Amino acid sequence: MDAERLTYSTLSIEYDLLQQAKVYLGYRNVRASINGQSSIDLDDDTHLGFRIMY
Amino acid sequence: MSGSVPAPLFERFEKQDWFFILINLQWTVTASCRRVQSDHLLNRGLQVMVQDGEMNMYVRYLCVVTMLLACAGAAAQEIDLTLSDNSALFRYLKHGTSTYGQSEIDAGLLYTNDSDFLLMLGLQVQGEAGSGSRALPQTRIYMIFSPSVLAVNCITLQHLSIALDFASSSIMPRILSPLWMPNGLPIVH
Repeated sequence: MDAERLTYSTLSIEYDLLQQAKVYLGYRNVRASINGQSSIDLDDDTHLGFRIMY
Repeated sequence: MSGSVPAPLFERFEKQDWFFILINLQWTVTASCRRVQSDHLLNRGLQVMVQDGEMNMYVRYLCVVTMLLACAGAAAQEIDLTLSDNSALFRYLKHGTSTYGQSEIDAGLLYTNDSDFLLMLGLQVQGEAGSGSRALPQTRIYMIFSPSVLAVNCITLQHLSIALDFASSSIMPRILSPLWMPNGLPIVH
């Protein structure tokens, strides 16, 4: 099997809980095109995220 | 005489205005789209190495890499964790200075309910501080381990055909605040 391309798309809106911590709500689509098959969605869903910077 | 003196600025804000200002200032909208073309030479090499029965070895290797990244958290600059009903993504970014300039290392692991893995490893080295020029080519590897489609793939060394990144801090105060504030923005004379 051979993957030909990968498309990784995200859209999110973040809220700064603290200066170094964020929480966000987003949508992510990860689509891979496998040789000989149609594209498959590895991930296609909304998600809740948490980010810490230090 | 006192009637000609404008009221202090802060007194012109209603309570609901302050509420919207405080809420809006902390929002950021981000978007990105990356389309990566496969590097066939890398894929050929990987296919020679990986046979059907060796899948578990690579899954164990992925787990070890993830654990090492987690253990290095004390030196991390940024840790990102996202969860959804069908997937979980762990990302790690570290900013530092190398002999070539400012460097950024990032690693991510996406795991889905279908036992699919997407491993992302990236290295970017900028030239002189503040120049923004690249001292070394940006290197990024995407690897897909997908038992659901019997695919084990290595995609690219930063062979992007589309790369779009968008981030806007405090976009709401500039665009939406006047619409949201019941009393509109106060006019300062």
